[in-house]
Amino acid sequence: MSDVNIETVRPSVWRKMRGNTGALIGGTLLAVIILIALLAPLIAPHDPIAQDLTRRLLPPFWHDRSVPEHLLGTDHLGRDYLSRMIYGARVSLGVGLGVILVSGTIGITLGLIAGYFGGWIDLVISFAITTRLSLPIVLVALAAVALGGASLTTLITVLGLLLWDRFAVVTRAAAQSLRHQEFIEGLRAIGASRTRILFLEILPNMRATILVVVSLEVANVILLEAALSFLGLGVRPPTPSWGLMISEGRDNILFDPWLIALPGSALCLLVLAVNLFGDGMRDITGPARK
Amino acid sequence: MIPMIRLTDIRKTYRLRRGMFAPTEELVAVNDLSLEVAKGKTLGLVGESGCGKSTAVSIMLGLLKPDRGEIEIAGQKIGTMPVADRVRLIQPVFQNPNASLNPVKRIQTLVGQPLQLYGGTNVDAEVKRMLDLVGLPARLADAYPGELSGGQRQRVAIARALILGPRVLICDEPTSALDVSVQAQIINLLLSLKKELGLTMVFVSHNLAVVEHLADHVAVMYLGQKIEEAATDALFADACHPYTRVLLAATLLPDPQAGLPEQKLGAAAADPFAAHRGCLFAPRCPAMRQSCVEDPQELRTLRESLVRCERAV
Repeated sequence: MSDVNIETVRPSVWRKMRGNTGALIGGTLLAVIILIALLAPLIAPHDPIAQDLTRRLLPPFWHDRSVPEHLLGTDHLGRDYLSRMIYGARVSLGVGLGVILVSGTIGITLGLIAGYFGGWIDLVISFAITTRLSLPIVLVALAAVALGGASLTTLITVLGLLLWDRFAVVTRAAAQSLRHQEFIEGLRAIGASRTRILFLEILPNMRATILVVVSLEVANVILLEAALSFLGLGVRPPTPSWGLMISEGRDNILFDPWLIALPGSALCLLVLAVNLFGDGMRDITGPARK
Repeated sequence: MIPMIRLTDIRKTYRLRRGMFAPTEELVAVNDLSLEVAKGKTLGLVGESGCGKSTAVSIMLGLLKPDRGEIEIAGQKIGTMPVADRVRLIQPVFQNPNASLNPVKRIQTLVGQPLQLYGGTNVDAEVKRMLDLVGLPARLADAYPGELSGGQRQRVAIARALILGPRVLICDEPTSALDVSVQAQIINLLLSLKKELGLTMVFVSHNLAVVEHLADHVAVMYLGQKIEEAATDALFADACHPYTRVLLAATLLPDPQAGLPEQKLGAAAADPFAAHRGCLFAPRCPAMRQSCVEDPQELRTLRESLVRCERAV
């Protein structure tokens, strides 16, 4: 072999990302929303829960009756809508992230174990998955909230304990196809422990699949949080959450439709951003395969 | 002299059930297999699919516990040996280099991993040395398996197997997933490594030409039994067992005029559940007599071979 030292040229993730329009758009949008959520206290023009009953239901800036201090108007209690939207991003992202951490950990662990070991272990875990799939999420959440009281922690715990099924199904299937690969046998031949094989060797092979599930599930969770808050089972007023804002705005839907349109579009944008980004990341990361 | 690897009366059965209410049946994957390979020698293990080669390999590697029998490597029983010692004695090279390397790890990690697991120091330098040994440029250390060719990947797999400095290398069809042009390179690499490092090899293969080229000694298996064993030259020149003869006759010749070899096995396939006391090969044997089915066949010495057939002459 020649000694010429040729650097292997491998495009960086960043460079690949520039070639992927979807990931770029999704990533930018997501980054902006995350920044807004993080910097909420700095950029929100008003206190999101401060009421001013003399200035109720002011319209947003494009309207004739709008006032410059309330760029997106005020709600039925005279709270600044822009500030509530900004703080609402925190709830959506926080719930999305928290739930995925809980459900992802449960689902991936169970799926890996079921798929790798098979046999009766697989039977038990598959039974758990089927049981979980037969539970209606909203009903169970309703019961849990009735018992534990509505709070952000209850919401994250309940959703986290309910939404692990998709992770489990996907990782189980992937582990099943990987466990008979020769490299697993090779690892056993060098005496690698089961934990190492499962979490350090098999799991990294599922990165692309898991990324897709994460992006789908984050979007799902954000919508569920909105739906549960809308039903009064999620975030309690006066905490601003996009779902709760839609719920509170529905009395005025006829004359002030922007009360619903604004948080609705924000939700739509966030879900779109997460999906675009997740889809793009799947294509970008990971080594080249044959 | 103590052989480097010795299998004594290894038996492994699987309990199977064909259908939900069917009674469990016993499938004898490896039946009283005894093998010996002297230090620095190569044993070729041949036989058709399902003859127990792979089970035997798994048992030798310590991945599967035999129902009975002993495996000794360099005089030590591997059944009672700690894993850390076992992996330094015996390592595998698998058939398919696309599947035997974790696709998400870099070559550096893959080759260095066995050493890393057992607290080796100076892993980077060792990896470099191994890559050089198997004829790969050091710059590939950064690559992923998917970026290499089949032959390069098999070299990586060999480097990974050799980094712990094992005494015995088990090659399970190491060339059958490769292009013909690359097969020769890998075989020559294995030959030179064997000389250089004094390796003892067990070489499992379908490819008789490869076995003839590499092995000092050949054992032929049929349905879990060793049916013939002889020095390579003797076996290829003068096979005793009818099955070995059929196997040799089925080899394709590099001559376009020769046509396809005629195989004289009849339509039946090897049936591991066929229960009778006699020769397992009898139902397909071109030289079968009634006594073959009735009398158990023992290994006996015939000319330079050890053969399990009373009718072989």
